[in-house]
Amino acid sequence: MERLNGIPASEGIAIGSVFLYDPDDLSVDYRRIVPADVIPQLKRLHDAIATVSEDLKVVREQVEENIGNDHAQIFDVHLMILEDQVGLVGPTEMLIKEKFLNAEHAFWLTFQNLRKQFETIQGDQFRERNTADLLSVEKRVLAKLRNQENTGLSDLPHNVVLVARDLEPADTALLDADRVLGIVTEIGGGTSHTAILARGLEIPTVVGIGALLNHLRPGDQVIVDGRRGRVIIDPNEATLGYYRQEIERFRERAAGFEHARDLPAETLDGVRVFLEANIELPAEVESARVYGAEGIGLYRTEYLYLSQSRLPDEEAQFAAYTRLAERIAPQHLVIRTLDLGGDKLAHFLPMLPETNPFLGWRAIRLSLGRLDLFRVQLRAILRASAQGNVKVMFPLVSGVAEFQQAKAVLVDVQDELRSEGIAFDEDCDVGVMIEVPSAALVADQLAQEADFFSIGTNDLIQYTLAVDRGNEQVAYLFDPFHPAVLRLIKHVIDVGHEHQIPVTVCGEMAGDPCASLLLVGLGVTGLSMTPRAMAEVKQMIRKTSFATLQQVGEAALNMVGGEAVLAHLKDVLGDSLSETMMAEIEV
Amino acid sequence: MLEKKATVKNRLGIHARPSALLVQAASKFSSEIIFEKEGLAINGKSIMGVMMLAAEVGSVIAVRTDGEDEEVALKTMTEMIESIFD
Repeated sequence: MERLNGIPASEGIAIGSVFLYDPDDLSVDYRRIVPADVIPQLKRLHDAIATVSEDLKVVREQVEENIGNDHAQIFDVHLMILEDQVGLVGPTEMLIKEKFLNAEHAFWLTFQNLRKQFETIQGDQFRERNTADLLSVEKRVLAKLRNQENTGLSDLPHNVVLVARDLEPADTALLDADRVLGIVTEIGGGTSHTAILARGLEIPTVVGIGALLNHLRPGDQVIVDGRRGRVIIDPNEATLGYYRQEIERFRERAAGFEHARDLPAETLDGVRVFLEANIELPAEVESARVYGAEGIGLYRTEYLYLSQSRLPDEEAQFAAYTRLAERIAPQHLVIRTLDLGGDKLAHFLPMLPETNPFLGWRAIRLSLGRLDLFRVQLRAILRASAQGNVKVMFPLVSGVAEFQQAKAVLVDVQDELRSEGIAFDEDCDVGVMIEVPSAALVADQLAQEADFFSIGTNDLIQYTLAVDRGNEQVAYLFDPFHPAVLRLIKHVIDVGHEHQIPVTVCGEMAGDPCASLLLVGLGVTGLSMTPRAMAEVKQMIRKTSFATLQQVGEAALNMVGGEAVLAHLKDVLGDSLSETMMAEIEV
Repeated sequence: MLEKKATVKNRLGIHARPSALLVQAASKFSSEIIFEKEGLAINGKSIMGVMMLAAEVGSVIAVRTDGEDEEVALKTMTEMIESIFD
């Protein structure tokens, strides 16, 4: 048995047998042929190209339907490469006819020549992207020529855990979610394309696990623990038993949640908490509805910007925001403006190397430095506000002056729309995300300017405790229950109440059953979380009384951290805590 | 044969998607269409060729057309090169 730790990307547990997916394996049968074999080899080439072309059209349609036309357009480029008579098909045919190479050899050699030509271009800013596009097409055709029917992921065996170096958008788009129990990738982070789609498909997933393909054989048994970001290879009976029970508990809870879906999140003594959804893909609005979300508390707009070669224009953004606003209306849609920078770099944004990116040019700072991008996004958001209940919030604000500056841009864009006679909601609420300790400490000043607060706990914890959770050596210090963190949160909530503006928590703490109870005790108005976490949090809230949680909250402010707080929670709430929570506390 | 120079105006240059649009447009003409940038001449009907131009914003491309519809081809292609795709 071997345990590996990676980055948790999509919750849940999977026990299954390994399916290794390695499309980079380009080993092919390179041969010379006799003249009589030229015609059959040409036919093989044309058949392979035609089949890949058909496959790509299917992928294109699926991506367009699931993700949007902008992302689908990259497949148009792939199709054109595939059908390029001058650059690709012609030269390959020549190599078959004149050099007597078999189809795969000729095709591979043509790409080698193309690659060399691309490498000689000086200062090619598109090289990386173009090379990736070429490789994607090459892999598909070579795989087809190898007669591997299983090259795609649309025809997998049942009950597999898919293990790959990384997955391309085209791979995940074709994934059959009924057959794939779990996904593990060697590279990638929590905001990678794979992670986002896996959450959308609700497949337990761990990414960034490091070199793994060479350790595993197809058919090996593995456990994927998507909540802890853990992968266990060849588990022993005890571990298997534990995880089987865990899956069973998941199922039982899911059944209980069905029942709770349409009930309000209200404590035993009648305090109502609003449960909202965090989403990244437009399609996730459907799962927000399924799980009974009372609004979208955080729509992350980065996905529109990442993983495509150009900036989303105003119309594309307007269409995406409007669709979401209409689907969730009359409930609200809170749109967070671009939160790029730090660990999320879009390849089209030229960024200077930073020695300390998390303290650098990111989020609202980047927007204020790139008003061209910021204004386009604000125009799209404001226009969408005429079509539903839309609110806007700015990420990573560190003080009042910065918030005022962002609001001034918003007011200016509003004037512009007004002068163009374009409709928008004049009362569109503007909120501030509290994720920097300085913002939490001047919450009273911000409350004069903002219509609502939204506390982003992930960044607030990282900046308060000076801990990078991704750094294994210090990750143990990342403690959501550290009294410094809880006191900051408590302060922000109190200021919000004083100024009568709502305070929602939209970080990971909101979706954690224990932490969410504590937040309710500290007095939050709402909790915004990944849709799947909602039912469990609601069930917990409905089983406890606010008076008790308030006491727990007060007590926690003076404890020394996570272990003490959890133990206290268990002491006080013992009876009402679900079995699963007990298990979690003991782990 | 006709020839005219065009300057790339698109801020992000002629990346993959505009390349595809250029090739789609070029393929509709019967004339031969050549793009040349800094000594590299490529066939305007080949996406590989257009991608190899690696034409960033501000670069100058000489467009040459030769054939029955060379006039309208020249006008269309130079206008496209100068348009904003983003």
